[in-house]
Amino acid sequence: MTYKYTDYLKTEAQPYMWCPGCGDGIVVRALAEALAELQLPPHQVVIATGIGCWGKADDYFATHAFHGTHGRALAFATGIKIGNPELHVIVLMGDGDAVTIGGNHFIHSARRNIDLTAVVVNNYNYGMTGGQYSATSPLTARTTTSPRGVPEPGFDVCALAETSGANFVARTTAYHVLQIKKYIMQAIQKKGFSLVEVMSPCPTHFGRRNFAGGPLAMMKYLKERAVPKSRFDKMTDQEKIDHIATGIFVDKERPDFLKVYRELNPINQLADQGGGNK
Amino acid sequence: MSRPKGMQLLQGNEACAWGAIDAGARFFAGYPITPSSEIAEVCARELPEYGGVYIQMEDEIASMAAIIGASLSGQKTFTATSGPGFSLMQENLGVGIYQEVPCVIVNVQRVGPSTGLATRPAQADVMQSRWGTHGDHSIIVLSPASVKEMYYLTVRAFNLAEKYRTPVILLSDEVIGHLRENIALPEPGTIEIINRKRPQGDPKKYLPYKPDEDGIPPMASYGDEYIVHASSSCHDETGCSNSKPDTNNKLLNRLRAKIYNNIEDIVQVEYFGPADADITIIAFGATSRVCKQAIVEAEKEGIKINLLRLITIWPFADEQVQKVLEKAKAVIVPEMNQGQVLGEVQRVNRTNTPVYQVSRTDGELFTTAEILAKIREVAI
Amino acid sequence: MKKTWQIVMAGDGGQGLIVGGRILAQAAILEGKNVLQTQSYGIAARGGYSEAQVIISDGEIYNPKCETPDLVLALTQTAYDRYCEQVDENCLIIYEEDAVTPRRGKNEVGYPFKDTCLDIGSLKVINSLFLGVILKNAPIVSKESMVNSIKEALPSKLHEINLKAFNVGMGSE
Repeated sequence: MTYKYTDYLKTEAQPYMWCPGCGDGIVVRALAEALAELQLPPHQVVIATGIGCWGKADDYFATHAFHGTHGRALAFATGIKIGNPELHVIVLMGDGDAVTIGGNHFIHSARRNIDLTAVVVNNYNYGMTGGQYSATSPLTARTTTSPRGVPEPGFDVCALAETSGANFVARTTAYHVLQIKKYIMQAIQKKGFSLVEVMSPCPTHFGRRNFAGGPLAMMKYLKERAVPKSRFDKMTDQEKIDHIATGIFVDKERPDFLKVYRELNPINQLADQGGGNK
Repeated sequence: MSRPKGMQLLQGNEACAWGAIDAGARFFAGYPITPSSEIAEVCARELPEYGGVYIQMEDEIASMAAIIGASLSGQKTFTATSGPGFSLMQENLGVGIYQEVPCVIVNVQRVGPSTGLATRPAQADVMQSRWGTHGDHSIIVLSPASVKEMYYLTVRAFNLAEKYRTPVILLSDEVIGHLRENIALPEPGTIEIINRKRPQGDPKKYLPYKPDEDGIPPMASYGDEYIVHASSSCHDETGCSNSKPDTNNKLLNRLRAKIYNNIEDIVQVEYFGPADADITIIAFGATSRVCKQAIVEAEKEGIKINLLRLITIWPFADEQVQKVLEKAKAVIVPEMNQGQVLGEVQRVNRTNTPVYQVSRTDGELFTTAEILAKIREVAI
Repeated sequence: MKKTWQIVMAGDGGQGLIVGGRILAQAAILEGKNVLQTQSYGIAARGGYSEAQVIISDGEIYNPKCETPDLVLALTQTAYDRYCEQVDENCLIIYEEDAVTPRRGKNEVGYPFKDTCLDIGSLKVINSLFLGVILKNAPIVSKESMVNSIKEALPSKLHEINLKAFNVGMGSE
């Protein structure tokens, strides 16, 4: 049987609840296309999400799905993966879910190198709850809880993942549709912790308060300001503020958690003793 | 292989871990905390021998999340903690209840609140085990009072979790967790093991939260062709979010009925002492042992007392406690807390029977003399 | 034969009290008795107060604490002071001669544990020694059960010296 991208989606649940101009719908399609190109059987895929706009994506997938509490998607996903290592577990988190409330689980998942694929859509704020600032909102940005400017700088999500030891780290934007699909494919195929960060507009909240022009202007901004990392690194500090470094930052083969665990703890043939479900 | 053979001296926490392994648990996610860490240590050592995995998560929030995830993937899972960790687990415990995920949470109670006294016993998480997570929900909580019960009630906890598709809490305390008693673990294959109901029929027609006649939905696992959608949001039978009116009503009522329609199966008590006694003690856990000692000694003085021991704390043994209140001239409720089971006893007290509180919150077990003193005071 | 024994062994961390308690408990298990053993410590990670309690009974054991000890082994003054006034006169106190100044005046026995260990050749055999002294003064379990329990608890290369210490404590060597 040949899978098409529609086999991974609940088309009857569309149209999406997201705002016009939001990047979430683009990433859903890119993810579904990636799964189809990899020909992964839908029943071997688990989409695990957290809370927030991007966290509502679980309702749109026809694969197995999990929707948990705010910030904890990676922890649930860790259990899901270890419980059945044959599964492809893809974790969808916004910037609030992944690195604000979820910061601790984010760095530990990368450190532990658990074989998960994290797709973080970063729109610089908590969109669903009305546009408050998150740990990725830029310094001095205007949000509903920083009317005079955010007093803290935002995280570099990819740098966090890289420093923590992730095997695959890549960033792109909602404008670069084909790149999203390509990076997600690579991330899924990579054993160990993989991160794809997608910078996305939030036309209703963050975008509206910090950019002139509507959704199209925001998409244009992403297109123009995204530059390959090699070019970004050569920029001045002021230029860096106005640009986004994109590309694959990390692509390595450190052994994943379960591989190391089994090497240190070989299974004796007692696996069938006692009760048990399988 | 180090499964204890024959009659051995086992620590309560060790016996709990063996109960879990014998019940089929193959995944433990936890975070070390006194006085429960021995459970984690046994699991770290033994689970891989059985093909299982021990993972130390970054905190208790992640531990509770991981055991839910692994259970949804088909494993029998558990964690172990004490007060501060138990508090962290509450939000995700609600996920487990709402998503109907079988798993076991062991709380070896210590003195609280807050950091309290890490190495000293208390029984003060009774109400938290019932209502610690927000929202309307039901829960099963078991209370072991010996090393044997740390083994057998852990097995029971897993069985109830699988049967009713619910998290189950084993509410122990530092005394029972750390004392050592002789126990001979049963031969493998000789104890009853219950496994979750699995779906049958056409996978395309499977609705993960459509209940059978007994109110419990058959449970598929991630990886099955029966597609599972588990959500922490209000959901309907498809598992997907549904905020239409009445969805939550129906769901909450069904979840409650799962437990409260099965009280007879779930609630266990023990009666100790002469059946015709006028005064009854209601107690649980380590305290109940001291009460038994006091009852034996009171008998030497010619005072007849008996004990109703709560083996299941939640759902509360309304019927059994009510009968005791109807029959007894007075009831004594000793607890290592400021009166938590006491409130429940009073709730079902329709006969205005005098109920006497005995509290101890200093991290020390009651002495037999203390209980005897109260008995003598009440007996007059 | 007494129906229930309550034994307290107390002193400093590192004096083998916990292991000693376990060995005694296991000996009773070998005889088909019910056993309950607890231990407690002070807050120091090393040294500091250490105590093992063992209850042995033909019947069910209710209270997990030794409220009316039949025998207290006190290897330090702190341990002695903790129990001296608490126990009744039927309780035998066995104390370390080298460390304890006794004051009860009756039903207490001093023994040079540390010095005897040095004579035998190792401070590490103190628990086998005090188990022998305890058993000599109180017929809690049979000698055979205790010997088997010591052997079960320790690696074989340590059997000889520990059994020697046990026998010295029993007064048979």
